[in-house]
Amino acid sequence: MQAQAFTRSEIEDFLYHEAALLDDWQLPEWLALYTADARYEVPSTDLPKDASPENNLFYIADDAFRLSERVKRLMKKTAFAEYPRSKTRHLVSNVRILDSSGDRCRVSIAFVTYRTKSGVTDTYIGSSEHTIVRGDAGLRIASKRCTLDLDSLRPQGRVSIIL
Amino acid sequence: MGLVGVGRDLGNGHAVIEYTGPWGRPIGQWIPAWGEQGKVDIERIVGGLTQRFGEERAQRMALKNRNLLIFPNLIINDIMAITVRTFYPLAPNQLHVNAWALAPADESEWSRKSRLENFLEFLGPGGFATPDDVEALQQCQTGYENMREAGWNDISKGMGKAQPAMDDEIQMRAFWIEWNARIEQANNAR
Repeated sequence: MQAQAFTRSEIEDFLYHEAALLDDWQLPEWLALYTADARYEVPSTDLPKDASPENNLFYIADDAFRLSERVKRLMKKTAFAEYPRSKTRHLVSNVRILDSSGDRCRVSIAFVTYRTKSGVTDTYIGSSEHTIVRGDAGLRIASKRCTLDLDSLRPQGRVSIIL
Repeated sequence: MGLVGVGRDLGNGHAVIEYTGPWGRPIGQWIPAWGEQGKVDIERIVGGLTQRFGEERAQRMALKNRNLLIFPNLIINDIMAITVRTFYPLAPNQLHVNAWALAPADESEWSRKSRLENFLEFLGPGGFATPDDVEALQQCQTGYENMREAGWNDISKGMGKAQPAMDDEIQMRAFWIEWNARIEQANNAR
């Protein structure tokens, strides 16, 4: 049987759903969109595009275990950076399916994420590359790498939210 | 999580805390997450340290964490990884912090990977600790804006003890005492 082809509108709907879960702080539900062996990465701003976290220091390089710990932690009141919670708005644009094969595709997007807390709004601009797989339960994210279009993390000072 | 150790005022504004912690140290404290190969490598590193520095000093280097403040704005944290930080005040309410991760030049592929992982888990702007520290600093700053009403910040924990513990705020007192002395000197010279 031939695998069902990915369409851009299907991917867009899925990514808008991901963004909405993040903005609503439904992080356990957000995590459920990821595969059991998923990776989530945010390279440092001074690294080349193809840098590996095995020999470069990233801001974030989570395997599935650390990602689940990140979610657990962010849901606790003791995660002071995000409690009281910031307000975020994840904008997803310029969605392109770069390639696909069988039940797997690679997607590139441009994103802008705003984080507002204590009278300050920080902006995170960048592109992200998702690997998306189609399983029995629908689409799932196998990896997501968010590359920031910033010179440094100033004035943001941190990546305490999920981009 | 028990962190046990001491704080030392090194004079002239410098201070250090030295303590044991439960995390892995790429220079000498193995944790199960690093596997059997990790255990072998760590034993080799500690063996090398013992040869060069003797048992006592090698054990201290391998197993003790140190957060070192060099007055006025250099921090060397030799903890789950070595991070060097500088901080430069730009305004009364704005600070630029730079951080670097230090690594041995000859580290193996495995140890580089585990050191970076160890760093990320806790340290840095996306780690599980540093963003909360930044938040605390910012909230303190908001509090200090009330200085006309409350002109004091209490950092007296453990003051007067013969041997302050690692969490007795001695490095903060060391910094501010020196800072105050220098500001007073500058003011008196005017």
